[in-house]
Amino acid sequence: MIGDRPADSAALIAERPVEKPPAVLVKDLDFRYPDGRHALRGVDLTIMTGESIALVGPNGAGKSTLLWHLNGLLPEYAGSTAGHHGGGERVRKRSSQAAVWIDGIELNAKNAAEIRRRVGLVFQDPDDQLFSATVLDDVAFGPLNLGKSQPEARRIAIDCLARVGLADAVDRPPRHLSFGERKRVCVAGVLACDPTVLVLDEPTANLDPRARRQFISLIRSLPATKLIATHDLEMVLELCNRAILLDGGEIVANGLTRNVLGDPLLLEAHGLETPLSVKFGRV
Amino acid sequence: MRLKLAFSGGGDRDEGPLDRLDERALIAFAFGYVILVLATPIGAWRPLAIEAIALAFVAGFAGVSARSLWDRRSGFIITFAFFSIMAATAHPSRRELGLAAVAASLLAKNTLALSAIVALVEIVPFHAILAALARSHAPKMLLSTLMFMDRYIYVLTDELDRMRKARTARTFRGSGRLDYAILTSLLGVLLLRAWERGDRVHAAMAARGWDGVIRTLDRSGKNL
Amino acid sequence: MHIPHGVLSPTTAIVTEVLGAAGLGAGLWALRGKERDRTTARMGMTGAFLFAAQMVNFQLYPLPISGHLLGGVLASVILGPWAGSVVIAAVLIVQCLLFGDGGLDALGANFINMGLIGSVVGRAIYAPLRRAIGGRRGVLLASMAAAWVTVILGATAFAIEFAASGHFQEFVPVLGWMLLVHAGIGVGEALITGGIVRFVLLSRPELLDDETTAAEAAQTPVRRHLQAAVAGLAVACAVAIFLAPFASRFDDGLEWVGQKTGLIEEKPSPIRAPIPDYEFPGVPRYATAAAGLVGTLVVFGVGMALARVFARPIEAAVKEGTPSHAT
Repeated sequence: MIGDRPADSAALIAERPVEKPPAVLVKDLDFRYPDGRHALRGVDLTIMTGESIALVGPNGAGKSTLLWHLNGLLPEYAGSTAGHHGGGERVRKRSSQAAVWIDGIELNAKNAAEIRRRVGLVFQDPDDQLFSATVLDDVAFGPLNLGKSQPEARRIAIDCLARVGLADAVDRPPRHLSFGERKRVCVAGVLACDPTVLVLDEPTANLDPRARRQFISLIRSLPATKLIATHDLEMVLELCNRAILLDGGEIVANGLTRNVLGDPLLLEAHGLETPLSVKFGRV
Repeated sequence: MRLKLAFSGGGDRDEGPLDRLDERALIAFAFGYVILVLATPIGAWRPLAIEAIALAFVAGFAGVSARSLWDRRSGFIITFAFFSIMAATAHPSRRELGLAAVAASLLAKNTLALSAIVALVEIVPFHAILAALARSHAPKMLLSTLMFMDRYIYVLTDELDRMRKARTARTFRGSGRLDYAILTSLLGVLLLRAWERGDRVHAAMAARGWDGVIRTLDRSGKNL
Repeated sequence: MHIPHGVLSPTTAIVTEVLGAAGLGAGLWALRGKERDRTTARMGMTGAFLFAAQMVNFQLYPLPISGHLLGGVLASVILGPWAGSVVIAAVLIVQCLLFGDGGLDALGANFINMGLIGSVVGRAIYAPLRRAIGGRRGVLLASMAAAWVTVILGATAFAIEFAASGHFQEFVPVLGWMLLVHAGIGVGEALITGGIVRFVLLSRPELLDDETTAAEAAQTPVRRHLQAAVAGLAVACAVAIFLAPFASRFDDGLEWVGQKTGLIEEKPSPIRAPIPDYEFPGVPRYATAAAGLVGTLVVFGVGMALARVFARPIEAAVKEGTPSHAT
């Protein structure tokens, strides 16, 4: 295991009260899907405020499962039905104890709402995220759910759309936007909840080069702590100071981006390919 | 297999003066008009003519094109002609008015009612109708189902069309027909994908604080 | 088969709207408190799916009919009866408002014919049959049988609504034609439903297992008996409907009922020469009965063929200690 930050330090930080808790702390996270698939095997992860971290690994490594744990969508949407009067979905009790802290707040059913506000999750397929009839309604969805008043939610939504460069798309239905534009609306919708941690699942997948370039500059311009799950290693080199390699539900490597991505044998062993700019010594 | 989506609404219509009215008033007005038309007795040509002129005036005032009204009407004219003749053969008024007159009034009433609905959806987009209903405390479950449908019908039809093309590309047959087994498995794939998407959409909504209450921005707040 | 604007008489329209609204209200009541669950998104997606699926036309060889999925039973099998009926209501509303398909005054009747009969009565036919046959074969065969029967019942409901709109004399010929056409549509519905259910059972069986076991766990014995009673009644109705044209006094009976209840007003018209009661051509009596028989046989035969895939290997059954999967 490559590591300039041994996994043990995570435990230390959790126990010792520090001035500023890590933005994301994951301790010994273990998860099995109901069909028996063992998706995460004891994952430890610490992300300090302001860091940009890449999460790389082959398909099926458990990247998305890990991301979904960060704001309590897994296991089993426990937060969404907790405290809900009868007739709700069955909440399956799992053996996994609280294993995730965001800004020092433990993720549990009680804190789920607050955690979800702090962790902004951008899905891979924008059509999964943009469900409202118009762009403005979709961006205002988060603020309205957070209890903001109508004019305030509208102001926030317009503001966030301007931040992603889509101020003129306010009244358009999502289906009339290009894929890249829809992707940016998703980011606006997440920014509108004012998250401290931004989690992006495959942000550059299916984007054409120009849209990819725009999207990368957009991500770079955002001040939040970032965790980016991706196959786009060139983007990782540009955006992330640290890279985490996940395979088979375990963290295989965790270190500076140039160390992880500069190890051809390691990358190959886990179904990845050395980025060309590393190969030709541009980085 | 044909895949054709002919929605009314959301056209390139210029904004007319009616757009400033509250959606709920427009909906109530349109529904009231439909009820009035349907309650008009068979063979009462003068009231029907007045209703037709009123509709034409309002539609023209709002900038609804006659073409969009006709497109919708023409799609169902054969089905309705069948219905109206079937209904006219033993209609109580047939003895006084004759078969043709009864069938013609049925057709006229149907056309006016249909056109009023089409004009409504042209003036108020479907999502705005739903938002207005949400503000009027219509049942949440029905409304959210309608909202999801409004948003994802296009997504799913596109998906179906892509799968159909991929399928025909591998089927070497002259006719455009696909076998029953292929069609049902296409639909099966579509259903499973729709479901998986539903779960992801729900997760994305939960991630932004969804608690079952539909909250949308007021359309009237546009001027704020 | 969507009833357009202006076909139903005002009385019939009001009565069916009220009944339909009551049925929808019952469905929404059964679903209360589930707004924040995954169910909501799944219902919306199922609605959008049914909509897309209805764009696909199936040719019913060798008949010159092409049909498409109605989806009441399918929605009911995958979502449960009430959620299924709400989805059908949503589909009908979208079709009425966005596509002009089906009348505003006929929304209630259309919802009764396709939503309530399709999903709720369909479930009542499906559930006991599924339990009786057992296993995944049970899911497949029961959903096909329910699809077939509910289309016939829906067509009958239409004929009744039409007759109640002042066309009592035409009830028998209209019913005859509706049944003849809907025997074909019903077979199509059963085959499409069966094909899709089979596909889901083969690729993601746990989805249907989850839904059905969850629904049944919540069931009380009283409800089971009620369901069985509704199922028996529905099937008896379907049989009776096909045999009805043989009862020669049937139409006169209805007319008698109509006059007694004042729904038919006998207005002797002195001006015109007497017009025969109706000229709407009837269907040969044997045709409907034959169509019913052939339809049932086709659905049964195709169902058995489709279900062959689920015949479990004996070793597997023994290993699990459940020699017969029937529960």
